[in-house]
Amino acid sequence: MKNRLFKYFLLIPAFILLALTTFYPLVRSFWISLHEWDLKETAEMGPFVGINNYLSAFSDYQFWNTLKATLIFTGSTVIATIVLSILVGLLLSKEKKHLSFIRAILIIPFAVSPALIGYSWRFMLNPDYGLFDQIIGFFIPALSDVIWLSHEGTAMVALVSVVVWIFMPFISLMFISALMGMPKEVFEAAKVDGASSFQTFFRITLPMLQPIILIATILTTMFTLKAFDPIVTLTQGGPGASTSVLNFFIYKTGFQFFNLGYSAALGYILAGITMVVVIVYMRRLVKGDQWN
Amino acid sequence: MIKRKNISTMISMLLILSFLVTGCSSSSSGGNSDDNKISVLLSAGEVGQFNAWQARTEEFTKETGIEVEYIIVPYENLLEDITTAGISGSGAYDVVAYLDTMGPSIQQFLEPLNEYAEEGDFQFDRWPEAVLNLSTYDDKVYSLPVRSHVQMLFYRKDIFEELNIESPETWEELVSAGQKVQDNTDLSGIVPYYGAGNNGQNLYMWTSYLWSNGGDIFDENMKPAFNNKNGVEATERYISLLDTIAPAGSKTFGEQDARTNFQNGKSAMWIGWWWAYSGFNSDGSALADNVGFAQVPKWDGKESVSNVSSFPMAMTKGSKNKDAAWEYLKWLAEPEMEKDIVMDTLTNESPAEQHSIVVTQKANLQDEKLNELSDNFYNVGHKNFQSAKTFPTIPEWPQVADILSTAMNEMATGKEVKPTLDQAAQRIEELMKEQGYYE
Amino acid sequence: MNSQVNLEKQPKKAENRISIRKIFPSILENISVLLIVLFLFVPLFWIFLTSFKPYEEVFTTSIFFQPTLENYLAVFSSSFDLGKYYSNSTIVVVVTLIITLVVSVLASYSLSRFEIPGKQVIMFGILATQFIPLIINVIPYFVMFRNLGLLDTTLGLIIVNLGHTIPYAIWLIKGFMDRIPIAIEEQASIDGASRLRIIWSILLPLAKPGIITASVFCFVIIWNEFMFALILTNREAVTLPVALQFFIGEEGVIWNHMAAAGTLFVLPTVVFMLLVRKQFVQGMTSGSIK
Repeated sequence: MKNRLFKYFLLIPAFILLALTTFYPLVRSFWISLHEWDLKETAEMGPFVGINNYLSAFSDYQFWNTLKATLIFTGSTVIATIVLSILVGLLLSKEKKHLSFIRAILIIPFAVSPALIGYSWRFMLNPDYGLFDQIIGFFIPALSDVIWLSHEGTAMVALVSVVVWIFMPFISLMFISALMGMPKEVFEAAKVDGASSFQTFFRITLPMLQPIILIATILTTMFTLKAFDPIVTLTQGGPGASTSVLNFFIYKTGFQFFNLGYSAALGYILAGITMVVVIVYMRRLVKGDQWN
Repeated sequence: MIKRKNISTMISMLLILSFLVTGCSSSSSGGNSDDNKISVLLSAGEVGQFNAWQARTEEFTKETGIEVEYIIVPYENLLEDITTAGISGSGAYDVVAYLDTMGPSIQQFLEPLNEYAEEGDFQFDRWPEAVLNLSTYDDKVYSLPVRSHVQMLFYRKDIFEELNIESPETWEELVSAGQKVQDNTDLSGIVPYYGAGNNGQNLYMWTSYLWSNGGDIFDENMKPAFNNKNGVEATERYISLLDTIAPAGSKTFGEQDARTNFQNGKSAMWIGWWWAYSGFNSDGSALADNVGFAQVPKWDGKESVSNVSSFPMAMTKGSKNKDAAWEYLKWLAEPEMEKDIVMDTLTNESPAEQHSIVVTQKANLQDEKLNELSDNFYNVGHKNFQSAKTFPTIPEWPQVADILSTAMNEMATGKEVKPTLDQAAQRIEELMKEQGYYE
Repeated sequence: MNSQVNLEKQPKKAENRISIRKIFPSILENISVLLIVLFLFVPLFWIFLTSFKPYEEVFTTSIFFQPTLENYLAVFSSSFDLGKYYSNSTIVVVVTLIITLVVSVLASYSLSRFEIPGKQVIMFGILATQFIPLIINVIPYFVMFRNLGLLDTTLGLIIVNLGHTIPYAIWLIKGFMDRIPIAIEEQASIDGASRLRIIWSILLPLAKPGIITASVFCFVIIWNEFMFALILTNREAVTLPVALQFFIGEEGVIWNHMAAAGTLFVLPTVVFMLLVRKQFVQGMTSGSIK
């Protein structure tokens, strides 16, 4: 009896705040997405057009371009971040003095403003005076003439690297702490049984990391789909429109072309995509009952 | 018993929370209703001319009794700020500065100035036609182009003298001059900027090729015309600089990257906004006194056509002090004001942060003293202003520019010219059709 | 049993260490560690270095130059009101964090300890609010704040930020609370302590690493929040990420000034991170693995 009311009392503050700060504007923007609203012509919301804005997305070549760019960008960023973070986790999770120092400072890059980082990378990749451009050219002479932001492929590589740069420290820390928290006995037993380090990794470490991998993937996917500053500062969507991802396109549609209704509809489409991806992950999470 | 205690604790926690929330709210800013005070929105980023205005505002206040409050917002924030203030109709700003390409979409929040001008016998034709066009929508002038820029060709005087090269007048001469530079030095001939985005920066130099060749972006029916024979020829020439005298890096460059490349002595020529000239000549610049300037090149046997851009000042529709705002705009537009600021710069009488070389009025551009002090810079600038055309001032321009800018970048990074232009033309035509241009 | 295994293994380890097969991977390992550190810290170091460069050297790769404090002086100049931006950012972060933590701890306690119908759906719904690109909420917020007179106020930004932080905080803290054995509370409950007292004096200390993890995460989100601050503020309530934009002008990016402002802007975060790093790493382990 006492518990029944009490547990809801505890939830109320969070729910009121979430309702005000999130649900209400979400409903409002959904309402906008069902209207025509061209801010170039009028400051007031235009007529109700139903799902027209959603339909016009599907006949918009730019939408399909950005969708493709979004999938490539998100897919490669998530995979690269997770794989690299596991590697970093393995490398840095040993009990050594210098590693413990590195672990301590690892989080710093995550905390730096993404806009600042975007500009920093843009200047570091400049073919004239770019630091990274010259470092890469020095170590791998074959790449010294590559102008990173001038080809679809290399520009995407550069963009993905920057976003990986931003998320990797945080995700690595998740893996490091998971690895360091693993019971040592299991590994020692495996060693006694004569398992090679590859076997140990694939048979023991990886399965034990599974829940973290899933959570890390959800977080990285959500953040990558929302990435904005790195694109604005680094590529502006170029070369051509090859790095113009959906989030950037929504911004342009809404705040440069002032097509608010369409922009809101695009936002809900992006939300739908995210939702589908995350539900697929969550299914696995819930089924495995590893994090409830 | 326990329950009641819980609830009271809960309530007191919530009370504390709400106290926190309300306690930290700061006062909101409303519009000015004070008759003798106006607020002026300017952009940040070390613009000498804006600093010079601010420094001189005291005189204005003394003369007219109107107080001026300056609000400085980031350059990238300007469009959102004017728009949001406009939508809310708060009258937060009386006068705003904006970039010309934003004009058509914020026009609805601006007050036409023609009536004010007629009443006070104020002449708009003190400005070159091209920049005035950028302030005009539907035959009404919405802003004063007190800050305007024109494209000019800049080149390295020292290198050109050493190699005995004349400043190029045609696009062909430009390439041969560039080639001579490349044969004899490690510099690139010219550094263009083909990078996508940034309000279509990569289109300005292209239009000089296009317009001089008799091409245009739209025909008189607002159908895309840039993919006709002249357009394709001009574009091919523009892109082919990459095969001859432009560094490969320029494929990704924005205006700033290219200017830095020139400033760092990596290229011998650069076509860009004239305000850069003062940077090239500033104390500590590696290029001081070594930069020459000329009209933008042309096609053999045709006329040179430059492009202009403006950062005009406008009065907002929501302003509650329109008369005071007009007084202020008139003061900014006084010919002496402009001349004084530039004169103080050229003679180094004003502090460095107020340095500005921007002259926009025809009389000042031809002023003898200014030209004497600047090696004829303003006469050349005047020619460029007179020959200049402008991008179309339609509300859809940002979208059109986006399509063109993307196409330009695609061609610079390897796509074929004709099919890319055709595709861009088709996309722009669809867009214009949707907006009801062909009905 | 453990000690026995260890005893047996130690001599083996010593033997192996000498063999080349063992040395080579260890060199490789150290090189990889070095590469990671370079990859992550060179960009930061470069920003730091740039902040001391005179204007002429900004767009070069020079490492040896006459360092100057000019850029910092420009940042502290009167036209750039650093103090105001700093205090705005601090107010927004502190107040948002406090509110977020209080309501999230309560909510996650409830979600972790009680049977609540549709709990899975609630948890998913909370996370789902974060799927929608923030940008489409800007207009509704703008209209709402205009009507409430909250434009250009820190309170407005706090409200916006709460929507971004509470969901993550609930997820992170709940995952942690699930791990704390319920027996501890039951004991206290028998001793007659009230529920809130149990949360306050027993659960909170145990959950500290989880709460710290959530704080770090939310701190970073709030401190770097840019999109809403850009559009919902213009004068009074401008925060640091927006203020960085003051160094972009008609001429492009004034990179040396921006680097100086950026360095000052990052400093508190670095200090905060270093202060809480121990609990943070702990919290990540315990919160994620069951």
